[in-house]
Amino acid sequence: MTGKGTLHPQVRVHSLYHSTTRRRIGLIIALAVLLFFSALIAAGIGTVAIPPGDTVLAILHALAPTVFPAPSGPQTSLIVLDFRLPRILLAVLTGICLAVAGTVMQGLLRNPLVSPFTLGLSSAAAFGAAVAIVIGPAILIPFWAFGDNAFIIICAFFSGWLSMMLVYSISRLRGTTQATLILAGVVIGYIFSAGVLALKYLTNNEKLRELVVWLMGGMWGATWNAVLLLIPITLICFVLLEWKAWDLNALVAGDDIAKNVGIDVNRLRLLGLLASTFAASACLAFTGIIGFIGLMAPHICRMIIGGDYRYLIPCSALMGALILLVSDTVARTIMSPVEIPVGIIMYVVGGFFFLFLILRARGKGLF
Amino acid sequence: MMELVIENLTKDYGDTRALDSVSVTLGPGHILALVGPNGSGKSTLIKIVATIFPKSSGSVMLDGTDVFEIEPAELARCVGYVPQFFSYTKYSTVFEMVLLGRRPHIRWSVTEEELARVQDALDALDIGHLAGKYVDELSGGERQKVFIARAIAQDPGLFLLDEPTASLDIRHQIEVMELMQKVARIKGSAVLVAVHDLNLAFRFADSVLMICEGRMAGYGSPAEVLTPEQIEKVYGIESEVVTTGRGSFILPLRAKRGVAGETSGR
Repeated sequence: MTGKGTLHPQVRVHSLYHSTTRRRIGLIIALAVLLFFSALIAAGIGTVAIPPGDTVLAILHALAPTVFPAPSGPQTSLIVLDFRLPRILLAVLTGICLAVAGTVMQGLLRNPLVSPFTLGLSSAAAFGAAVAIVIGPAILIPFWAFGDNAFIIICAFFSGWLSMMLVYSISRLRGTTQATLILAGVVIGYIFSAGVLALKYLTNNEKLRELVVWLMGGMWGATWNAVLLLIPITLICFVLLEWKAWDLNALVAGDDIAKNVGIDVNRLRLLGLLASTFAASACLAFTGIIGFIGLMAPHICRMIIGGDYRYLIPCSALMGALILLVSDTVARTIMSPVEIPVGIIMYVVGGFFFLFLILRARGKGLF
Repeated sequence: MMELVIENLTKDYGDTRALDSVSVTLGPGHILALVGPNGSGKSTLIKIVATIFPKSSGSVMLDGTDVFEIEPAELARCVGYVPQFFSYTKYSTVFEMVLLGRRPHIRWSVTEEELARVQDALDALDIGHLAGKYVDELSGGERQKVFIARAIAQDPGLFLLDEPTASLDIRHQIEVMELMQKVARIKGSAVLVAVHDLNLAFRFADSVLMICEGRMAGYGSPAEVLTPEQIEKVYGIESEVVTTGRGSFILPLRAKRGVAGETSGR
């Protein structure tokens, strides 16, 4: 087949593709630069203000002490390296994981309402953590060595896994539709929520406080140990899902078309859901319940970068990281030295930004 | 160049037999039209050939190999499927949808060659000017052409089209069938197409398979199969084949009471 006598038939798709690609790569680079400078600024602000130059110097000095001199203030290195950097990195990693998980889950299940939260994952993780907080680590002696937090994390993680396995098993039943899957996720979420409520109702005051704090979510659990554990998890899941970006693109056209272009749809769904659950629950275990990002970052990014998962996944990752980092920094500093929960900032600022995007968006609807 | 040989293909959904011993051969460069009332098993047959549904018994061979034995990635380069219903999102552009047809040939990045193929497919359907548009901005007919272009871009030896002309106006119906004829003649692709319009089958197909309640009700050249007697038996309508100086066409006259009841089941 040849083109029908238009002047330069090859040029149109060619230039369309290349200009779109350039714009998309430009957007991703811009977001990455923005994230980098946000992190730099975030490391500098707080009860003790540190100029960006000293922040950079503190990091470089820690990496190569012989080449770079230590920053001027005696406490600078300590504050940057031990307190602020782990927290910033935890916010960035959590933002990446939740946003990528949300993006991929929405694509896999072809449903704009899906996120780690609407599939019951968050309630399940909360239940796991609540069990750990209330009954304490005494029943599981081996975990005692890692301290209370490790026990909470492990319980949240396995409980999250359990919910995803339940949702996925239901989806594998014969004749299950996409709507059933979402309903199953929501209902399983309620069941775990009931468990959380029961625990809150039954437990004593001191433990209730701990539980409420964890359920509100925040970055105060940041340590280098957490960050060093999350970096490989994030990296592996991101690379795996990015590698499946073409398959996710094909899934947009429906299961039958995806199958026709050679994709094992069931395997893709299982693999994608497992990887995104893994990433999301690992982060949730360290931060407590963080909502919004998994649902909204993908939609914001679809509006600004389009539906091609090759670019959508990195864009969502950066957007999620940026939203969470900025929100956490504001939450940490706005009423300094008192910290407010990150959710308060994120839901309000992010929510209004999202409404603004919807009102400006082309046409109605989201997906 | 592909040859499709279907032998005694049977498909059961629970207790219901959707296809019963269907045997048919489709050679390269030929168009086989699949006709029959709603629910007669046309889509089921096409989806089994595309390996979307498993078969119950019988065989579907593509160039002598069972389609269910062919690696999915390899099959994707041989068979292009256009479903009756499409999915897309608000953010799907025409270009990206058609580019999906190249998925079996793309590793990661999109080469100039792939872009040229997409351009050719768009031009073949005369929708090149829509490349940058969102699929949800298009009319139903334009959208259908996008999904046909996707299969054209896939460049398969066998096309499976499930009512590709369903939402097209009469001009676009003719254009799409002419295009498929061109693809068959020039590229030697085999085309299996389910159509409701018997006149399209009459005019464009090399052979016609008429199925009714999953059973073969007629198989042969259009003139052999699409006779008033056959049409009455399968569809329960009275019709007449009218021959003019430029060809023949089927003129449906009226529905016959009592006859349609036994055929238009499911």
